[in-house]
Amino acid sequence: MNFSIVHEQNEDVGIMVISGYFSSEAGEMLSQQIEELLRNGTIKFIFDFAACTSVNSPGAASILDITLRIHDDFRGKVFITSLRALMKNLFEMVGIFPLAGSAEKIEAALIELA
Amino acid sequence: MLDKEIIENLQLPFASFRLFALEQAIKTGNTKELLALLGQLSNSEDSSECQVLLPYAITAVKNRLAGAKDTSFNANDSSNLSQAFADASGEDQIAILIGPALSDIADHVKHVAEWLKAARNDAVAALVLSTFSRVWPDSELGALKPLLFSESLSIRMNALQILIQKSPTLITSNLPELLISNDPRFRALAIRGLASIDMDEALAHFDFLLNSASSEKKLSALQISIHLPFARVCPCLVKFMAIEQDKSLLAKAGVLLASNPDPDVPFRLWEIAMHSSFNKQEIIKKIIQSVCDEIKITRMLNGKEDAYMLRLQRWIYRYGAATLLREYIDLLPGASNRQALEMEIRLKKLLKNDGVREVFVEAQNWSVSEKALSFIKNLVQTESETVTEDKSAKNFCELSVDEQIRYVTLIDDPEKTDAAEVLLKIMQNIMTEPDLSATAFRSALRMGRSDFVEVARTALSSDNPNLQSAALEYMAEFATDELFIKLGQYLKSLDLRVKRTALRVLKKQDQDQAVSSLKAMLSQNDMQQYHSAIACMIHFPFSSVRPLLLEFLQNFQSPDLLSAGLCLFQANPDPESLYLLFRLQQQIEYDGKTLVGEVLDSVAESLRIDRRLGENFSMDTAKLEWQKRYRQELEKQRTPAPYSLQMTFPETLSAFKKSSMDFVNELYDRYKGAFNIYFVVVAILFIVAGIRLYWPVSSDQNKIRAGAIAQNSLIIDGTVTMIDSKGEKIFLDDTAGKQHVVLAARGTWKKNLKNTRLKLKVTPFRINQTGLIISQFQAFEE
Repeated sequence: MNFSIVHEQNEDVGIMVISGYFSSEAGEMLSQQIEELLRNGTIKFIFDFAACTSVNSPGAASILDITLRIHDDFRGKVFITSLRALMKNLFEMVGIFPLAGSAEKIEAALIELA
Repeated sequence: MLDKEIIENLQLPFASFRLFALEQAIKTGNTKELLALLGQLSNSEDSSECQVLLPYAITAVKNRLAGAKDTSFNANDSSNLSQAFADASGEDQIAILIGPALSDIADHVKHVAEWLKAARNDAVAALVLSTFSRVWPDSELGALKPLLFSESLSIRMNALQILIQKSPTLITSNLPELLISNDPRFRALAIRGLASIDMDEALAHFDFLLNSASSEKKLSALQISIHLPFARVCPCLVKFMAIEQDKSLLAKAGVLLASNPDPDVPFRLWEIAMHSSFNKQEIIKKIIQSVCDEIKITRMLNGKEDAYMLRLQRWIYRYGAATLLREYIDLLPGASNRQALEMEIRLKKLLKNDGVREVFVEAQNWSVSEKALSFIKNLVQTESETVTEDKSAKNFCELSVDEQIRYVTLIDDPEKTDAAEVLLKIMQNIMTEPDLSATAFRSALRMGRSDFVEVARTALSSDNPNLQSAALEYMAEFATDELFIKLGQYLKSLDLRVKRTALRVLKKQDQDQAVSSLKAMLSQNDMQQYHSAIACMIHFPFSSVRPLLLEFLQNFQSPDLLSAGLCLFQANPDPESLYLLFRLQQQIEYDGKTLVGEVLDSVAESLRIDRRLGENFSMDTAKLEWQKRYRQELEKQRTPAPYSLQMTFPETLSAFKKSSMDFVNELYDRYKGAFNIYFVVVAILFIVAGIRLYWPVSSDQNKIRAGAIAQNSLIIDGTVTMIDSKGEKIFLDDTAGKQHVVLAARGTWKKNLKNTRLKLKVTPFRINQTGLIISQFQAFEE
C-alpha cells in the first residue's frame, strides 16, 4: 500500500510528515531518514500523522524502535501529532507514549520542543 | 515515560514493572504526585531492589522539582568522566548516568565494562546497563550472559534486553530458564528473543502467556505482540477475544485487531459476539465496527469495500439463522409439540430475509434425522410473511394453548401494545402451562423485562426441562449472582436441554470455567456425556472449543463421535480450520479419514463461496504446504527444543493423552497415603448428604428462615385453616405449629376440606417474612 514521508526542518526540529499506510516498509524508510538527521545533529523530532491512514503492528514496532533510538541513544525528544484515536490507543498500549510526547497539532508540539 | 505512567507502573504487583518505573522516575520524574507516591512506597515497598532505588528516585524528582541544575560533572573527555564515575558515591554515580555530562553516550562506549565494574551497587549497575543498552559494544556481549542469572531482577532484565537486541542466539541455551520466569515483563522479553530464533515456539509461548490467569501477563503478551508477525498473532488474539472477560484487555486486543485489519476477522468476531454476554457483545461489536472502518479507510480491498460490507451483512444473517436452526434441531427429539411450535414460529419470523431463506433451503441437505428434515421442509414451504395473530390481551385467555404460545412468541413485535399485560397474566397464574410459561420467559428476556425474577425462581424447580431452561436463561440475565450459587446442580442435570442451558449461562459469565466443564464431560468414560459435550459446543464460539474438540476426536476414535464433531466444522466454516482438519485426517487411523476429507472439501467450498479464501487459493497447493507443516510439527514433537513450550511448561500437554486409568493411577499416587480413610469418609459423607437431600422430610424437622428454599420435597402433616375462593390455595397449620400455603391447579382444593387433617407431599420454594412456608403441591400422602 502507498505511503510517503516528507521531511521539513523547522529550525532545530525535524518534522516528518507521514502519509498513507504506515507499515514495516514505511518504518524502514522513516528509520533511515531519522538516522541521517541524527548524525547531522538533529535530536528533536515531530512525527505528524495527519495524512496517515493507518498504522499496523510492524509500523508501531518501527516507531517504538525509532523513538527509543532518539530518546535513549541521543537523549533527543519526539513529539507525535495529529493521531486518530485508534493510533493513539495503539501507541499508548505498546509504550511509545511514555517515551514520546503527544500533541494535537504541529504548532503545539513546536512550542513544547522550543 | 510520563509521570502518569510511572505512577501506574509503580502500583503494579510485579517488581520488574516497579523497577522499570523507578528507573524512569530517576531519569525523568518531575511531579509532586510522583514524589508523594515515592514517599509512600518507601514505607511499604517489599522488594529489596526497589527499596535500593527508591531514595535515588526521591532525590532525583525532588531536585528536578526544585529546579536544581546538575553541574557537578563536566568532564572534558570520556576518560575523565569514567574516572569521576569510579570515584563517585552511589548517589553521584546515578547523577552522572542521568545528567547532561553523559549526553554523547557513544563517546563512552569503550569504557562500558569499567563503568559496570565500578558500579557501587546493583541499582547503579542496572542503570549502567539500561543507559548503554542501545550502544552496547559487541565485544562486551559475552560479559552479559552471567548477568542473566544475577540476583538482581533489574540487572537480569537489562542484560536480557541488550542480548535480545544485539545477539539473541547467544541466549538460546538459557531460554528454557528465562521462559519460565514468574515475571511477565521478563518472560515477554524472552519470548521476543526466542522469536528471532524459533518463531513457532515464540508464538506458542506468546499464546500461553496471553491465556495465563494474570492480567499483567496478558497485558505483557499484548504489548509484545507487535514484534511478532500479525498473521500468526491474529488467531491467538481472536481466541483471546472469545475467552477474555476483562473489558480493558478486550479493548486493547481490539486496538491490535483494528490496527491490522484483516477482512476475515469481523466474521470470526461476530461468531464470538453471538455467544457472549450482553456487555461483552457490545464491546466486540464496537471492535468489529472499528475493524470495518479501518478496512474502508485503508482501502485494502482495492475499492471493493462496499461489496465486502454487504457480503459480511448477508453472512451475519445467514450465520444467525443457521445457528438457531441447528440449536432447534438438536432440541427437537425431546421437544413437545408445543415447544416445536414455538421454535417454528421463531424461525418463520426470520424468513423475511432472503439470506435466511437460503440457509433453510440449504439445510434440507444437512445430514439430520427424518423428523428434523420434515421440520425444515415445513419451514421452507412457508411464505415469507410474519406470522401474526389478530388477537389482544382481552381475549387472550380464550385462545387455545397453541395459539397463546404463538401469540407470546411474537409478543415483542412493536405493534403489540398489550405485551406487558399478557406477560403479567401468564406470570401471575401459577397454573399456566409450563410450555407457555417457558415461552413467556423467553419473550420477557428478549424484551428486557426484569420484573419476573420471583416467578422464574419458582420455575427453576419445575420438572419441565423447557420451563427450567427458560427460567435459567431469564435468571442468568436478571438475577445472575443468585443463579450462580446453584448453577452446579443444573450443570449436572441428566436432561440435555437443561444441561446445555446451564453451560451456556456459565459460558457467558466465565468462558474458561465453561470450557473446563466441557473438558470434564469429555474426560468421563461415558459415551452419552461425550455426545452431550459435543452438542453443547454449539453454544461456544467455535474457535474457543475447536482445540478441545480436535484433541478429543484424535484420541477417542469413534465414527459416531467423529461425525457429530465434524458437523461443528461444517456449521462454522473458518479458514483456520482447514489445516486443522487436514492434520486430523492424518492423525486418525480408521475409515473416518474419508469423512474428514469430505468435510475439509465442503468447508473449503463454503469459504470459497463466501470469498473468505484468497483469490489464488488452490486446495492442491495448500495440501502440499500443510503436509510440510505437519511433518515439521511431528519432528518438533519427536525432538522438542529445550526452550519449547512442551519442555518448559509440560502441563500444557494434552489432557486426553492420558487414559482414564492413568488418571486413576495419578489420583491414587497423589493421595495414596490417605486413600482408604479419605475415600471411605468422603463416600459416607456423600451417602448421608444424599439421603438428607433427597429423602422427603417432615415439615417439623425444618427450621424456618425467610428467603428461597432449595429442597426437593416436604411432607406436610397439618390441619386446613382456610381455602381461597378459586380452590388454588390451601392454608394449613402443621403439627409443629408452622403455617403453610400450598398452591395447586384451580379447583384442587374443595371448600369442605376446612378443618380436615391432611398429609401432603409438596415442593417448598419460599418462606415469607412472617414465616409462612409457600409450596407447590405434588401429591396427597393421606
